[in-house]
This record gives sequence, structure tokens and C-alpha cells, in this order.
Amino acid sequence: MESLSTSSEFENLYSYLKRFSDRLVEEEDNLRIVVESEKLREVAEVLSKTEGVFLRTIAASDERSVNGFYKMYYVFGIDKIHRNIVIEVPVDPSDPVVPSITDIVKAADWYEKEAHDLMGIKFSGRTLYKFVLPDDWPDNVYPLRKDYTVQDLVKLYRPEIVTKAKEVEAEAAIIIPIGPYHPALHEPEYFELYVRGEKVVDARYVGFMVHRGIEKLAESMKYDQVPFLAERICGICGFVHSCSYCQAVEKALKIPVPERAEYIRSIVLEIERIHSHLLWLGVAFHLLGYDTGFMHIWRIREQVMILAELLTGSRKTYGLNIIGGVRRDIDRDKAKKCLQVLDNIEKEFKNFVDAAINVPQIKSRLRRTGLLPKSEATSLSLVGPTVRGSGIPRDIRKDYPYAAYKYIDFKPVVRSECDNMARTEVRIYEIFQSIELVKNFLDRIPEGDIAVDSWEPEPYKFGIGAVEAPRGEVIHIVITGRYSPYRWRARAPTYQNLPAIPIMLRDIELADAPITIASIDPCFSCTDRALIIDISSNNVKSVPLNILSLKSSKLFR
Amino acid sequence: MNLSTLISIPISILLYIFLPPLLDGVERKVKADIQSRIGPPTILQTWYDILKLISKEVILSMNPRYVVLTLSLSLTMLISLTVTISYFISLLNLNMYIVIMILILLLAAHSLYLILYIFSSNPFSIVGTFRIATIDILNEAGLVAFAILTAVSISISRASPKDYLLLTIALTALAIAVYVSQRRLPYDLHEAEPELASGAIIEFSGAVLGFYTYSHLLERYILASIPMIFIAYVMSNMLRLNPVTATLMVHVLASLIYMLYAVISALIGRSRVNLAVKTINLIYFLAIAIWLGVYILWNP
Repeated sequence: MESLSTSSEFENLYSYLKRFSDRLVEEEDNLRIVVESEKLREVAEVLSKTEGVFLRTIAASDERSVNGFYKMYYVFGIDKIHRNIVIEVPVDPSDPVVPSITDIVKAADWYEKEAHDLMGIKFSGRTLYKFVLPDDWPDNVYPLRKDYTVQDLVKLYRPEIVTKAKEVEAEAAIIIPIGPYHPALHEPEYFELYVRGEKVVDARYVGFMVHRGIEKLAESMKYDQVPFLAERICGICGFVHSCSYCQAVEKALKIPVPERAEYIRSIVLEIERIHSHLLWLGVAFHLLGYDTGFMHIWRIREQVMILAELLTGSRKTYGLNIIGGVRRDIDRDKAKKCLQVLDNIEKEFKNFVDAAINVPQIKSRLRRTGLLPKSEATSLSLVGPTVRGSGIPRDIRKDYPYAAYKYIDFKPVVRSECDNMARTEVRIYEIFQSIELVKNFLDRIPEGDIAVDSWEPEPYKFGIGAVEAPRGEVIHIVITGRYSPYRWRARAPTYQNLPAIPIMLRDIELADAPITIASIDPCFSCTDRALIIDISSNNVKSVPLNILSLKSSKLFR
Repeated sequence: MNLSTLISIPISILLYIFLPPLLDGVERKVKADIQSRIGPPTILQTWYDILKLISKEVILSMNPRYVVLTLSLSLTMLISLTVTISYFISLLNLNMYIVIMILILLLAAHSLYLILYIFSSNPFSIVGTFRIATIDILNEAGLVAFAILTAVSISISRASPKDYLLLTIALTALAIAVYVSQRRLPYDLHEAEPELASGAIIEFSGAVLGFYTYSHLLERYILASIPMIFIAYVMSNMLRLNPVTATLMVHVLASLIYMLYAVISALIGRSRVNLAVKTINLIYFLAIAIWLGVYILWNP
């Protein structure tokens, strides 16, 4: 296995890849290579065998009106030299088939299924099924194709569940989510935990309960409206999404962002990380039954929320980013107040977390539970504290420096124990690190404008924007259009990290399942589902509570 | 039976009946203070909650016959236990047979709870019930052993330092067993909110939940008073206390230890079944070994 750590090694790989195509475009951060679909697996093989290369994201795009093809974009990142290799595969619209690379690059699994659902691309050599779209979605309607507008889709799809609910007079009945296990975060998650007694023997995740079609929606919005939409992808760390989107457009159109704006973005990103990590820590303590820890951590977090309001005008969904800069400045008074609050948070957090993390039950339930080996973390291209807790120093702030991170030096927090405690410690130390970073940024912030005066869109330009969110890398791809993004692909860190959960859940106690699932800091939305799985007969069924309650308890023994 | 004994019996019974929800109200305020919260508006809140629950409509997903029967039996048993204990405290009489009778009544109430939980076929409830059964099998053996050990320590006592040490060891172990029996953190595994969403009691609502909450609090308070009965018995023999003072002493000390338990439970997290079994095993084994060690090896 080769290892890439210098630019010259990258040049070797670059020369090697030239054998597969003569259509190469070199950009500041990216090397874009157009590869025919027959050669895709060979290229993927080369990249997957090169150490230090991770699959960052995959996007499918309908470019029939531009060049007559659908196109698949495979973005591989080489962290150590801060560059991407973007493999572009044109797909014939009359027979949209691409060879699957899931057996070569494990992390490609969800992306292929999603591209099949939303763009109608078929992947040969693997089984495909409805993944993102609901089961009752009409056949042969691929929502991300340019054949449909958002309005068309609204007319085309009426969820059958409404009809079914009326048929059974369900207005009067409530089905309560149940199960012998509970994934704990109150969002639409659906885990099948196969248990024997209290031991989890295997697990499976099914997601996308609430697919909002945000990418499609953005295609009908103006460039400057999209940051507000992007910020609503996540209710906890939305700023990272508006930042990634803006950066992607800025890179595609080569818009120079004023340095002061870069510092302001970085300050707010770190404030968001502090509040998000504190939120997670509180939830983790709650899941471990330590509610005193939960209350105190959230009390400390409240100061961060007030600070965010002071700097941006809102506790959450700040609405601060615009393409080419930010909308609000940070004046001296605010900077001074910010430093005072941060000092106070640092002191209070240190005093409390030292005691909290040493509570015997917390310690014993975090140590050696939810193990995620380094090899698995690498093969799944995991991101954020999840991968850093398995000894891999992946951090987009360092690997692909953006905003003001390129002006300062810091080391990613890494732990090598690979367990729930390691991921917890990464977040704890990142809170201290973020406080230091904000202080640093405030100290160094230069005078000047906070946004460019104007900029002009130019169609069919390609840009990648990535931000290290509290949960890991957020990556957005933008292909520009005349008035709106032609294609916008947003990938949140949970998307990348969720496939690791079944690995972490294997052979743990049922009691540790909630904290293990929570240890990747997952971000779903708001529904629960549950199934009963009879492991001896392989029966799987959903049962409403009122029916279930009348059944004999023998069912569960 | 003199007048002071006659007065102290109803006082004790009334305290047993009315104090538990009030103490829970105080506990909620204390916990809120520890957690930087305001907590309920008044210490009577638990009483208000129970009365509100009892006044709500009855919705049962389980077979009502089993629920009402077991719940009413356990409540009746606990109330009769308060009468029995009050009677013996007032008489300042505590022998091995009385201790065993109290324990049998208490364990019978525990068993009825288990039956109550298991009637629900809700998977959360089933998992919660098996958890609490596992803890109970171990802990109730400890509870009985340490109660008897305390009674033995009192009966063999000649007021020497060795005897006081033996009594202290037995009482400490009994206090731990009582804490576990109260199903507080880290041993509230049958409810375990984040994993089991109320677990064993998930199907209770309205009046059933109201009566269950009351009987659970009553049971907690009775449990808290057991080590204090031994202390009051020793103190009354030493200081020649009258029945009213002895009764009040039991309830004051029981309330104090109840609050101590509340503070401890606010400072720790939840255990796991396998961890809990190991910890309880270790503590009880050590307690018995130390008691025996002191008894055999210390020859003044």
C-alpha cells in the first residue's frame, strides 16, 4: 500500500491516473479527471489502495442540457496534502448504468443507493432498493432530474399513509413507538438491534425517515437565498452548512472573501462547536443516568447561546453568511464581552467536567464500550470526533484549511482507545481548544470589509466547500447555474458516520446501546420507529402498542 | 400499654402515611438545587401529582383484574406494615421474630410489584422486570442478611468497642442494602429512562400510576426507617427514651437518611445490570467478611 504525504508522491499518483484519461483539469485544490465508466473500478481500486486517500463525497448530476450526460462526481480527498481528486464519470442517459465501487470503497455504499433513488442511476454488480425515497414513491420518478420542478413533485406524490390512516380511522388512534430497545436521541432513527438477553448480537440501521428535498429546492432559489436554506439542514450546527455552501460558490466563481469575514466565520464556527459539544455532553450524561451532569453542562452551555446571540443576533440559525462574506461585524465591545464570557465558560467547564467524567458509573460505561477499530474507521472514511476517537487525525480545519484556520496553527485532538470514552474525551478537549481558537481569532482579527461589494454568477463552474462541523466534515458541492445553483450537493457528517454504528453496537450490552449510538453525535430529525424481531424464527414485524399489549408475554421470552 | 405508647402508635402511623410524598417533594427541591434548577413550586408537589393522577380516568392496556389486585394487595401490605412497625417501635420491643416478620411483609410487597410489572407484555416492561428481578434476587438476600446481622449485633452486644464496631458494620451494610432496595440511581435499572422509556412502569397511567407512585414512595420510606428502628431501639435502651420520643427519633432519622440517599443519587450515574451485580456482590461479600473478621479475630 502506498502512502501519500508529500506533493511529489501526489504527482506520481497524478501521472499514474493520467493513464486512465487525457481529460484532466487542475484547479487550486482539485484535480478533476473525466473517466469512462468502464475504467471507474480500476481507478477506484488504485485510489482505495493508496493510504491517506478517503472518499469525501459522491454527487450525481443531471447535465443532459449541458453536455448530454448524467454525471457522477467521486470526490476523494488526500488529507495530508490538502487536495482532492475528483473523478467525473459521464453516464449515458439512454442506459444510465455505472459499475458499483462499493466492494472496493465501502464508504460509497449509501451514495450509490441515494444516486439510484434520486437520479435514477443504476449501479451494476450490486443490489439496489429504495433507500431515501418512501416505499410508496411512484416508479420511474427521479426527483433530482431536471425533468421535474419542485411543484411537479408535490403534485406527483401524495403519501399513501394519509389514505391508509383514514381507512382505519387512525385520526382517533395513536401508535406509540415501542421496542425492547430505544436509540435514545429523539429523532427519526430506526435501529434493529438483534438481542440475546441483554447482549446485542447484531444491528441494522434504516434512515431517511424525513427527506426534505432541500437540494432540489435550492435549484429554484437565488444564490443568496440558499445560505438561509442551508442553515436549516441542522438545528444544532446549521452555520457549518451555510458556510460550506458559500465556500463552494466562492470557490467555483473565484470570489475573494475579505480576511475579516473569514475570521468572523471562524469565530462563529468555533462558538457553534462549543455549544454543540456541550449539548452532546449533556445528552450523553443524561443517557448514562447522570442528570446532574446534564443540567450543569446545559447551564454552562446557556452562556454560549447568549454569546452567539450577542455576536450574530440569534441563539441559533444565525443567518450570518452571504456569498462573499458575512452580514454582521464584531466590534470591540462585543469582542471584549466575548472574551469575558469565554474565560468564565472555560473555568466553569473545567471544574465541572473533571468531576463529572470521573463519576464511577460514567467512567465504567464509557470505557471499552462501543469499540470502533481504526481499520473500520479508515475503510468507512469516517469523520469528526468519531474518527479522531479511533486514532486518526482527520480534521478538515487542518487537512483542507479554510476561512481563518489557514492563518493559525493547532493540532487536532486525537485519542486512540477507539471506545465511547475516547470520543467523549475528543469532544471535551475540543471545547477547550475551541475556546483558545476563538480567543486567538479575536486577537488577530484584521480591520477591513466584511463582504465583497458584488460578484457575478457564471454557469457550470464546479466548487467544493468543506467545513469541520462539530460532528465532522460537512462537504458541499456546487455546480453553478445562471441565477441559481445548477446542482447543489450537501453531505452532513452523520451521513458518513452512521454506517459505523452497527460495528460499534456488536457485542455490547443493551444498556450501552443508547450511548454508543449517541457517541457519533448523530443528527436525524423527529420520529421514532420500532420493530419486534424474533431472532429464533427470523420474523420481523411492526406492532401497535394496543395490539401488542394484549398479546402474551411469551412472545418476548 | 401506657398512654405515651397509645399516643405514639397513631402518630407513627400518620407519619408513615403522610410523610413519604412530602419527603419526595423535598427531595425534588434538593435535587433541583444541586442541579441549578428551581424544581417544583412547593414541597407538596408530589402529593398534588398523586392526587391529580388518582382523579384521572383509568386507561388500562393490561388486564385490569391483575393490575388492581396486585397493586391493592401491595398497598394494603405496606400500610399494614406501617401499623406493625409503629406498634413495635412504640412498645420499644425488637426481637428476631419481629425483624423477620417485617422483612417477610416487605419482601412480599416487592414480589407483588414484580408480578404487577410482568403482567404487561410491553417489551420495555419485560426487559425492565428481568433487570429488577436480577437485582432483587441478590439484594434482598443482602437486605435480609444485614437486617439479621444487625439484630444479632444488638443481641450479643455487651456495650464494648468491639460490639459497637460490629453494629456499625452491620448497620452500614444494611443502609447500603436499603439504598439498593429503594431502586435509586445507579440501580433504577427497571425504569432506565433513556433506554427503556420508564421500563417496568411504562404502561401505568392515571389512577394506577398514582397508586403505584404512592405505594413506591411509602415502600421507600419504610425501607429508610428500618436501619433507624435498630438505632432508636439501641438509643432508647441506653437513654431510657419514652415511646413518643423514640417514635419521633425513628422518623427524624429516617427522613434524614432519606435525604442523604436523595443527595447521593443526584451525584451518580446509572449502572448496567452486569456491573450492578458485580458491585453489589463485592460490597456485600466484603461487609460480611469484615463483620466475621472483626467478630472472630478481635479478642480484647
